[in-house]
Order: sequence, then structure tokens, then C-alpha cells
Amino acid sequence: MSDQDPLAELVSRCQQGDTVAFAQLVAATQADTYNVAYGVLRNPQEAQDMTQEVYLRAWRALPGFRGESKVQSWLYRVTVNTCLNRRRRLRKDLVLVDAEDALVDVAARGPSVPERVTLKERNRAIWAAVARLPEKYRLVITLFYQQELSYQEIADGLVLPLGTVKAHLNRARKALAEGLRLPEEGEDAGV
Amino acid sequence: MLECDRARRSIVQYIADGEPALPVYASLRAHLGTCASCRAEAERLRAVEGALRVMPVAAPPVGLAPEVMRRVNSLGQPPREEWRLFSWETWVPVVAFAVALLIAMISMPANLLSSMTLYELESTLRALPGQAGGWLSPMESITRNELFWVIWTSLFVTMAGVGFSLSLRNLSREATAWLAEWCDRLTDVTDRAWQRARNAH
Ligand SMILES: [Zn+2]
Repeated sequence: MSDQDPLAELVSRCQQGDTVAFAQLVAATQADTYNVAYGVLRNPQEAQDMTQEVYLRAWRALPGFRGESKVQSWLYRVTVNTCLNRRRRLRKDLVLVDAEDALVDVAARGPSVPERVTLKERNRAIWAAVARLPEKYRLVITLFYQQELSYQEIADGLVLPLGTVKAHLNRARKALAEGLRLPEEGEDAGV
Repeated sequence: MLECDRARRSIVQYIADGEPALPVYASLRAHLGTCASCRAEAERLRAVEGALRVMPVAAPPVGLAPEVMRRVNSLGQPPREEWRLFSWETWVPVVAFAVALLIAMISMPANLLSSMTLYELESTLRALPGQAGGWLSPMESITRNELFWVIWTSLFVTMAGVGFSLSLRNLSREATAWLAEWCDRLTDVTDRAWQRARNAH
């Protein structure tokens, strides 16, 4: 187990079946887990259900955790897999939207920013546009900007090549920016 | 326009990285000085970057952790020694053992097998139609080939090792770690033997 991982000691106690240690692990990580779940699912009830599901899975899977990665990265992976699966199942009931189409849609309609806006209002409009991004883009945004993971940590967590992570982030940033009409630009005012 | 296309390719990363004064961005910075359209794009990207950096984090509801622990406690101990049917931990060793057994069976001299029912199974296998039979039949002629035996034996050892170590995995993690290391060494040895055999040929 890596020396730098403060949760490693808790994990080895959890592996012996210590529920008190697991409660501490939950307390230490639940905010991150919930936020990532919310980032993917965009629904408080779903995020709550999936966070519970993540920890139940983690409890069952912990005896097999060998400490090859940090506990937090491993938890991110469990969270992402659980939530993306949930999303896929949910989407069967919804209208299927191709991820790329949705990205183009965000870029085209963009965060609608009225003529005179405060910085706060402009930020709100951009956050609302983030919510409309396809989940794979929203996920990297959540991990990078909110969980403050590095490109490499995201790549490890999602089992994706580093270049793909960067490309996803840049495409999301570009889509958000392209749709954005800043009032001070004065160019095509009608969004 | 060509300039703009080039600028647009690097501008996203440039803004996201906080507009570093790196030499790779020198031409981009020069272009931004002269192109209003790309400057506007940079402004939009800055707005996006600024908004993303202060995006509010969703806070978990108060009752979440207690509810998790209630459910965990009702589950009891993690199912350490459970054999889950259809999980890879079950079927991989089974398949590995089956392959190892098949290899051993085919490799055994026919006279040793003559009194066993296995012999019948072997002849059945050899009599298999199409690809399977065709795959097995040339083995008779190459059994004296050293290279063949090295590959054949290492395949057997690997399969048996995988089957063996994964079967023990659910019983004891320590034993598995030790076995995995042991299997690694064994694979190493067979690898080297294989290399030597290949060089000899
Ligand atoms: Zn330009």
C-alpha cells in the first residue's frame, strides 16, 4: 500500500471487517463520491441512491482491493462505473441523444447570456450549459474542476489514455465557449 | 484564416493552462494581438474557464452516511470466501484447469492412456471434424520438436498456474500474493527457456 495514502490504514481495517473503520472511510470520501455521482446523474435522488450503491459495492469489493492504486482513485472508478451504468439504464426510458449531437447542441444554443449581466449571472448560465453536456464531458469537467484531479489522475481513474482526457476537456471547453455570446462583443446579438 | 485555424487548435489548452508564457504559444500570442475574432474567442474561453473554476460542488444530504452504514451493517461481513457463480473469479480458473487438463491429456503417450477412458476421449477429440481435428492432427508429427514442447509445457504451466492461483484467491489473499509472485517467476523461467529454444533454432 502506498505510504502517502492516508486512507490506506482505514482500508486494511475495513478488510478485516471493521465497520467502524468503514464508517470513517465513508465520512472521509462521501462528499467526493456524491459530487461525482451528481455530476454524472444531475439528480439529487439518483445521486444519493448511487452513492449508497457505490459504498455497498465498495464494502463487498474491499477484501479484493490490493492497494495498487490509491483508495480514492479506486472509489472514483467504482463511482463512475456505477453511475454510468445507471445512466445507461435510465436512458433506455428516455429519448436517445447521441453524445456528439448533444455537444453540438450545447455549442449551438449555448449558455444564453442576456445583454447586461453580472459575472455571477454569466457563471450561472455557463453552469447550466455544463448540465446539458453529454455525461462523458460532464464527468471530466467534474473530476478536473470540482474534484481537482490532475489529467493523469483522471486518466487512471477512468482507465482512459491521457490524450483522450485532455481532448474531452478541450472539446467541452470549446463547446461551452462557442455557444457563449458575450454582450460586450456586440456580434450577432440574437443567440 | 489559416492563421486562425492554427490559433484555434491551441487556444483552448492555452487559456485552460492559464496563458503560460511558453515559447510554443509565441505565435498564438502574436496572432491574438492582431486578430479580433480570435481575441473574442479567447475572451469567451476565459469566461468559461472562470465559471468552471468556481462551479459549486453538490453537497451530500445529511442522512447519507448513516443510511450507508445502516445498510452495510445489515449486510454483515464482506463475503470474503464466497464463490460467486458466473463471476470471472469462478469461470477463469475452471477454464484454465480445463485447458491444462486437455493439454496434459493430449501430451500423454498413447500407451499410458490405453487402459483409461481418457484415451477414448482423446481419440474422440482427434476425430473431431473440421478445424478442431485439423488443429490436433499435426501434433503427432511435431512432438519431437523441442520448440513445440517448450511452448506446450509453458502453456500447460501457465494454465495450471492461473487456475490454481485464482482458486486460492478467494481463500486467502496472502497465499494468492505469494502464488502470483511464484507464478511470475515460473513464467519468467519458461519465457527464458522459450527464448533460448528460439535462438537455438
Ligand atoms: Zn484569428
